[in-house]
Amino acid sequence: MTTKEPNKPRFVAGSIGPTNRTASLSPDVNNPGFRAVSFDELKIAYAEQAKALIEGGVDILLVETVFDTLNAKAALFAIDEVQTELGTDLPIMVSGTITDASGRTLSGQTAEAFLISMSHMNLLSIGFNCALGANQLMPYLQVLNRKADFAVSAHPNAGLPNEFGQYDQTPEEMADLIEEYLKLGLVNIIGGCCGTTPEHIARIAEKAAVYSSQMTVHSSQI
Amino acid sequence: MNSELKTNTYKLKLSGLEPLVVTSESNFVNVGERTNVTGSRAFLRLIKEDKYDEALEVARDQVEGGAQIIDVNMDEGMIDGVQAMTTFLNLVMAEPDIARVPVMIDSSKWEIIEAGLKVVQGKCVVNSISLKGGEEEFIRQARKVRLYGAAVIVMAFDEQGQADNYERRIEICKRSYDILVNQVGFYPGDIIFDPNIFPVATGMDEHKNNALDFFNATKWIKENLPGAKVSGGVSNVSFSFRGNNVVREAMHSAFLYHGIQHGMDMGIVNPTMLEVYDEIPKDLLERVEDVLLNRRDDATERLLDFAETVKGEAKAKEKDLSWREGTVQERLTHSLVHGILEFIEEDVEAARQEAEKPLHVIEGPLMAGMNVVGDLFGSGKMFLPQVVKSARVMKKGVAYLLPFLEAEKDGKSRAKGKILMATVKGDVHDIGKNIVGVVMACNNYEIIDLGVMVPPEKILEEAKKHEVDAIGLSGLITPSLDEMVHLAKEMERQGFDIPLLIGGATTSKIHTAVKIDPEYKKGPVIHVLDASKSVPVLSGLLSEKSSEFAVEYRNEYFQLRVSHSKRQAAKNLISIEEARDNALVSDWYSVPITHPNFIGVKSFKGLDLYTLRNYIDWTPFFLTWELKGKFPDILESDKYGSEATKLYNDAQDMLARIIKEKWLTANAVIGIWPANTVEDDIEIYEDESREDVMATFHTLRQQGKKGADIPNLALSDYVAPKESTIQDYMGGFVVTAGEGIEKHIERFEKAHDDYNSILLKAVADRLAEAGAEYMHERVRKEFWGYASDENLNNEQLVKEQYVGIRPAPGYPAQPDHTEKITLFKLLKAEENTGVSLTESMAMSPAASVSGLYFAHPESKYFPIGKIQKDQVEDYAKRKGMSVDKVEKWLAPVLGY
Repeated sequence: MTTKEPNKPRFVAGSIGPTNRTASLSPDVNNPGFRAVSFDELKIAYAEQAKALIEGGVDILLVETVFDTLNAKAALFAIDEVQTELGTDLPIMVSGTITDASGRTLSGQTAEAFLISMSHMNLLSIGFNCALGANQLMPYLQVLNRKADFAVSAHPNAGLPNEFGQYDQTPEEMADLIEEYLKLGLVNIIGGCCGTTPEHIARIAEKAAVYSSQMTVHSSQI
Repeated sequence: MNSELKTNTYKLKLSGLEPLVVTSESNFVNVGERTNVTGSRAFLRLIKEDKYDEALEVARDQVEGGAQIIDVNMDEGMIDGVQAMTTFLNLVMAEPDIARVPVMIDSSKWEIIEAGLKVVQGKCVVNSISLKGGEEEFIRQARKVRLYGAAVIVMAFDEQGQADNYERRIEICKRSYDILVNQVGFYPGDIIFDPNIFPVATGMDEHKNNALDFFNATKWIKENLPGAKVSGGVSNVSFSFRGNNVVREAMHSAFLYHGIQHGMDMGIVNPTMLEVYDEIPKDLLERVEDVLLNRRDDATERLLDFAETVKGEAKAKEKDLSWREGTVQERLTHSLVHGILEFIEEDVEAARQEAEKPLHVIEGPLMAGMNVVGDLFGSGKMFLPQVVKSARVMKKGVAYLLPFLEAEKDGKSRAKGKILMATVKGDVHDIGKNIVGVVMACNNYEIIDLGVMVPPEKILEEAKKHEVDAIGLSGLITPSLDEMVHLAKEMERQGFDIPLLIGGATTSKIHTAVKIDPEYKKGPVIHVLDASKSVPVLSGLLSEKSSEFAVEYRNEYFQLRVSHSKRQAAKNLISIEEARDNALVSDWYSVPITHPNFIGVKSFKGLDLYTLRNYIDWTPFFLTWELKGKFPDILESDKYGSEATKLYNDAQDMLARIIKEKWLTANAVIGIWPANTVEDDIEIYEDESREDVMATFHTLRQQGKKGADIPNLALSDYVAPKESTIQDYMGGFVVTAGEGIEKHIERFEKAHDDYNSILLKAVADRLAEAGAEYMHERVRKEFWGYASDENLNNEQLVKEQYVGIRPAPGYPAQPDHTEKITLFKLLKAEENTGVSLTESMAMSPAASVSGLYFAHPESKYFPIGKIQKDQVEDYAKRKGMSVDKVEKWLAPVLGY
């Protein structure tokens, strides 16, 4: 794509998901001190992923859907080691997940606590994705926008799912909500998560183009 | 990016579950020191004896006592430090009221520090590293600390030893700082120096300047090493007065006072061993300061002499135990909500003695407590780790009851069935599942609980292995629905025929019927709404008549599927023209229209709460607490009676205090204006000349296809049309009972008293509704006067037996919340009542009600239902709003 349109370069972010284990929470109610996975095990798994992504030629590494900050810390640790080993210096994006109305990550951190826990690395961006729609995500993006020393990203879901777990928000509706972010200058990187389709991303990209001065990357879909 | 950061000089930002930001303007940061085996023998003993429950209480105590960071140290020869640090911090992470503060990982052994860093998600402080082992080692450790994302305390220690005078202190700190910033790339704000606090008044001359050197080194660091912070272990200073807490507390306070003056940012302090500086007796303070500041040669002797005279007792610990004075239910709920294990057995025993059967304790007070937990979780006032804690308390309570339950069973101990339970893959929520598990176990079913995030293969494998009688799946997040569908398909494929039970917040009967049931034909699929339903369903399914029982459900689900697909197929909406043709047509010449006694706007400040109390409709109040039933019958209900009565009594008590202590002020504003309709709009006129339109209310019309003689209603049908030339009227109101509430909510929330906070909000809501009822009555009888001879009691009012309605914008008859703007402008509502509209058109304070008054004798409340695009476009034009905007506000009623 970039070769075809050199005036509109595309970057590929290698997505690194959260794994299905939490390093900070016990899966066993009766044994709160138990952990199903250790920092070191996560580090190994993340290092493997990061290495493969870098060798595969990605431009950016994206640690996303962070529901447990300790997992993400292991990811950042692993990425740093891998990059040192390979002699690369790819920019890193981190995107957390605010699970519900409590305004916390699954592991219990507030948006600001999450930001602080991730700020020891020189990130390209920090943001949130998944779990919430664009309007529910707004207050937490505002926290990042005010407090973060990095660019801010957002990849909301297409609204909240209905009782069948489907997403009803249309591309137009979602793009309108995203426009609010853009008007407020909340984000530098924008995209979509669950329930979004290429059509959603296209509508969002159109809006983003209007406000392009603040945007570093136009759009993506996690 | 923001400028705040760029202009500020290196903040120290830490985090637990919540942030802690230290700037040069911040107050002194208290670091709790008692979770330290080198400093607290009691804590050491607990760790040695593996009493981690009690060790956690020590940590909780400190946080409750005001520690903003907790220092954790496991350096003791007899303890496996790596293991103890890991275990203890893992447990701390499961206690949200402790984990909310950052952790200081304190050890002289690098491997213990690293073990701590691997289990804490927040940004910690490492305490400490130093040049003791040379530069290479120092750099290696600092790099690691950076990678783990922690701040660091650097001890004034180098290859030659610990700095014990001013010059050595600043020399080592400078060298350490330069290496960290220039070679390691450490963020300066994350560097904290500990320039060594040593004891004073030891009787040795070389110790006389110990405090003073610390103070001066602190000042130098703050002036010369940009961004660096200073900390220290304060209790060291009073080491020679061990056993004399009065003197020690005074020394700590005075030391801190001067340390802070010199720029000390934080310190490891036992907050309960700290006198208030201003309250130190002057003679003691003078002697203490003489020692600290080395002001006279005989300072030590004078303080020692004085100390003999003040050997006092340790201060009693201050912890709020007032909740222990509540009823058993309140205590149990408290322990459950707050996750406190300490008293649960004692309280369960108390409940057991009151109860007829041990099982009733679980079904009654414990479940009621868990319901509160569930509500708080649902409303975002508790989050997952807290709920998990509550479940733990619950389990401990149930565990205590088990022997009694066993004793009850008298021989009929064979389990009624074996049930496998699991939260599906990808989902960690299991509170509901655990409750269901507990309830089933208490009803003599054997439960095999596979925990959370269980992959389908494992569920089915275990089901076969244990030859279970049924499988129960739970999930709270929406993707879990697909997992359940998948599992149902797998069961079908693998030839299972045992019942599959579906539960959890995200599940629904309709989803189960439409998506899951059709996938698993060999066996029954049943949606179980809550724990209470699980037992009847199971006993039905596992009884001899199980197939009949299952068939009933299968039929019901089939019906649901059919009606669901019908609904999807034809929404049956008519065009807006057709709907208008079928509007309610009144014979306006025979409709009685009363000329109002009052026209214009009238405000009422400080409505009499005592009067309003009589207008309260309590039924919705109980609904708020998920106690379903009509008041006052609910107080006698078998199911909720005792809970409802307790709740009602609490509400009454609170109401009495609200009134007596004037917690809340209720205000109202009403307006009555000349009005006529133009099609579906209602014009409000300046005066009776009806020439100047002051405002226009826009209404929506039902578009559902109606049967013969049933009109398609709009609120405008209740006001006479302009062309009829009949002089009609309409009114509006805003009532609030929320003025003054924040202060009390804050007070309750500070006390972690979610119960009373919710209670107050619920009561305030009721008062606001009561205010609306009260004002409406006065409008009917007095201000408008169309029903001056009305005489209804509260029950009749609740049943809406009066003439006329007061629908609220945003509710079914007019779902457009933005109509409130018009109403608020007309009433000058913000000025008159203090109620304002948020950007999403919510009223603030929340305990407020607004609405429109219609007096038409046939007026009634109706839902608008789904509407079509033609009406939306027309409505947008009438309102002067874009179609997009209208669609946004009316999203829930759009039928396309």
